[in-house]
Amino acid sequence: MSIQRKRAWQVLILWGIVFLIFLPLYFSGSGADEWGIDHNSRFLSSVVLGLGYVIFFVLQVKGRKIRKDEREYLIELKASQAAMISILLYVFIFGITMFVIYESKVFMPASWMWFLAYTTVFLAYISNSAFYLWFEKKMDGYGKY
Amino acid sequence: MVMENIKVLNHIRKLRFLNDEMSQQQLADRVGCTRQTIIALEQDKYLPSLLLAAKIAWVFQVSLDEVFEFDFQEEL
Repeated sequence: MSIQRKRAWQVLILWGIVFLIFLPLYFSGSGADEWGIDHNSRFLSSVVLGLGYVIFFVLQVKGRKIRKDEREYLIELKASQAAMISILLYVFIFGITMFVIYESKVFMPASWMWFLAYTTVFLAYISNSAFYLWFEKKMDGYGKY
Repeated sequence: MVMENIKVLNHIRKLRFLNDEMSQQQLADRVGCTRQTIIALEQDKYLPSLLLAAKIAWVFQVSLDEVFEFDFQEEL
């Protein structure tokens, strides 16, 4: 397994776990309606995000130095493009869903913005790694996909 | 007529064996890429840049034509 692929798996698993920890943390208890005033959940979510970043940076610093070549830069570029589009779509769909749900109500809980902020970070890393692995495996026909 | 498809084949594997059975890693080190890229090239899964192609030809001391084979397919 190449170092790049190993690194992509590490990032995918790390942020996947962080995401899976965050979801029940957010939806437990009163859920989105009271998450904003639930200081424990907010604090724990911050800790989870912080821990995720600490492990992420340790992996980046401690890991072997990666020598990338043109093929890997191409895969990275494609993965970043695909991840960016998927994140844009996620934010778009999330925004539309919130509008549809709360259209007839007076207020929308502001804590949904926390949810969007957190999950955008998690999904950015997850989708980037997943697309890297997918493009690397799928690449065929002289670098086309 | 429009040139729709250009099929590119390469003889890297053959040239490696003709050059003292050079390993993929040795070739990768000499041209400055990873072994995975050499594997992808040999499996026709990646088309290298002109620079990398030139480096590979230089390592084997042959011309580009001897490393890569171009099959131009025209469509009417």
